[in-house]
Amino acid sequence: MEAKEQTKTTAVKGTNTARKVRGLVKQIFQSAHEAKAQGKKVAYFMVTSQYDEIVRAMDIVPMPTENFAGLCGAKRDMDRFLLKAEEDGYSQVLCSYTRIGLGFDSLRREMGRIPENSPDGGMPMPDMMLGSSAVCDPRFKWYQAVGRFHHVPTYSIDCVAPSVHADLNEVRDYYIRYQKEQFEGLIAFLEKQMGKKMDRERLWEAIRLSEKAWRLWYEIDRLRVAVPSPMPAQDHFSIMVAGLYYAGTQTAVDFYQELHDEVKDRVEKKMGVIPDEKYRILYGGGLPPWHTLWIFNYFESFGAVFAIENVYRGSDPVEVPSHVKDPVEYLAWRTFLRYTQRYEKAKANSGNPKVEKLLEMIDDYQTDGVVFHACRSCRAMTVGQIHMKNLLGQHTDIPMMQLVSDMVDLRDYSEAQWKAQIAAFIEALAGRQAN
Amino acid sequence: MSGTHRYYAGLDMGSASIKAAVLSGHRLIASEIVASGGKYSDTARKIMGGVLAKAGISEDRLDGMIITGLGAESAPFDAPQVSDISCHAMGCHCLFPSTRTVIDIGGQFTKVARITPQGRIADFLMSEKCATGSGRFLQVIARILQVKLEDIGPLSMTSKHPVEFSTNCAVFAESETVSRIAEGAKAADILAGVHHAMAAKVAMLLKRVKMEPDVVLTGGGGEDEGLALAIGDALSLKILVPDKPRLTAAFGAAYLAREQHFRSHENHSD
Repeated sequence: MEAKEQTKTTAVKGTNTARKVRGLVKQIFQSAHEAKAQGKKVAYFMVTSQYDEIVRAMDIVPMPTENFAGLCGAKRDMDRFLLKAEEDGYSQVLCSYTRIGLGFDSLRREMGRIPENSPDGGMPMPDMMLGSSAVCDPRFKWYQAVGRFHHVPTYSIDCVAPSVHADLNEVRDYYIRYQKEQFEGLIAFLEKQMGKKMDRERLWEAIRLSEKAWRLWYEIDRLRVAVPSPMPAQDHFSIMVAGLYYAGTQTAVDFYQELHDEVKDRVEKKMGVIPDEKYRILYGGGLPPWHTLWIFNYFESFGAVFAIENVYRGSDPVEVPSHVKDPVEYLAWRTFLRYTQRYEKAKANSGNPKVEKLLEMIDDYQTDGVVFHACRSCRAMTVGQIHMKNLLGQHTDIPMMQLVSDMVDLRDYSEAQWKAQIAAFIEALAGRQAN
Repeated sequence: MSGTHRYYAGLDMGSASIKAAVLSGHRLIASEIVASGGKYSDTARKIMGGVLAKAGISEDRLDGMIITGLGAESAPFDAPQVSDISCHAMGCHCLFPSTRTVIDIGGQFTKVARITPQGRIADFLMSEKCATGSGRFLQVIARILQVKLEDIGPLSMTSKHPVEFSTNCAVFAESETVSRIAEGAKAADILAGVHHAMAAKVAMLLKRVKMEPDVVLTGGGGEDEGLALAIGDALSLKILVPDKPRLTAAFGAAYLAREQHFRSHENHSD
């Protein structure tokens, strides 16, 4: 049988360290399968739920189900899972990450085993499932739906942010108290599942590692203000694996230290992503098109580099007050501070914290244009993009463009349309530079 | 033809038809429109042969050429490519210097662009991956109604009671059309309903790019006067339409080729 020609989806990366991420991704799945074989507990898990360090501190092996969906997209092996979920009655407008997860688990139940040749070996059976409302509602509901197949304990926590217009001094204590209660509820659940109490010192250690990695990641992004750009968006979409999927581990710290050193070296040597950088672009938001990451190289063929992105590293490091001595309270404070980071600035300017962040990026990274990616099935990161674009337009006249597809569902993508849009966008950038 | 004249060509390889234009100086002297068919490359070579013959020049007399359109990558000519949005913008700017907003309704997509007084793109949008946003929608309905494409506009303008479509999907609109025919709706009313549905979509795109007058409708959609009227009604303004709207991008491409020639040969003139 002839080998099937694989469609190229990935992008050529700019840094050597980013090329090591594939190993980290494989390790996630390998570790989870090994843990199952050894009788350790594996949890379906949502990254950036603010509870990541708690899971690590409880010696639970995390199995990030969204990561599996992104991996399927990058491997262009998503249709069998998407179609299975749709066959089960889930709508095509439901989050495609969720549909892949539901389809995978439905197929597994039907076949009595992991579907053949699942990317990176597929996901092992979870011992528990930990949802969260952070970012979007499917992350809260997904595991409740999977409960039809897996009769394992499920717990979803609430992560809350006040309104931008709220008086933070007035609501702070209440929000932090509520968030802490959410974490404590999760801890009680995990202690019951694991049959042991959580070691608060271990939690502190996971938090310290997490904060160290987060700061290094932030500093890497600060190095990226350099011209020419030392690290492109396609690298960012890989290297986020360390910060999000390895939060609270030494692995993340070591990875970012290595990347930091490499990016710093590239900046000092003025090594750009491409030899002739004409345009610097801000990735304004939206999940990346995992099915077609080479599109970033396509931009580069016109001399356009994505210098910075508004996705994944959702906040800059925050300073939790030193009087906070309890690690769970620390997590509650950190959640509040991360979520409200640009509230005061927004109140004084555009009224929108995300727009404030974009304006900072446009200024700091000297970007010539902004590109958004609207994902049809990701409401959380797509609804509001046009509003943000319009608001941004009141503060800057640089060209902006919204590409539409989906993070993993290829049926929403049109290569001809994207190429036509990109050509016109590049011409708009060139026209602006010429004036 | 005088041997001292300068000639420029624009080739627009669209999904439905391939268009070519030749300028002598800034004057359009020849043009051709041919259905794209299955063999883009062969059709492009044929149409260029035809348009150059009309202009009375050989290919080596061209001082510049620009290729545009969705099929530009299949063109058998060694010439720069420019996006069709830019070419439409320049074409409209040359035909109507007051143009500030361009609507291009083509076989595959609808594009709208706000342009600068110099004919450059300031902002643009494309319809989504959906047939309702393209000329294809009209073609589908016209086929069911057995109406020739060129008759769509005049017929729709006789409508007294445009049909209201409950869907914005071309596939569902097809079945809805069949239902309306069964209910006795007139072809004119159905076509006017399609125009209203398309105009609503176009108006939404125009508002998103912060449309400014004058607004020009170009591309194949511009040949449908009923559609131009519906868009004008939706926006409460008069829509300008070139004489040969399908040629606008090819004309704009030729004009951009002329500009490009002058940029690289500062001492040259027409």
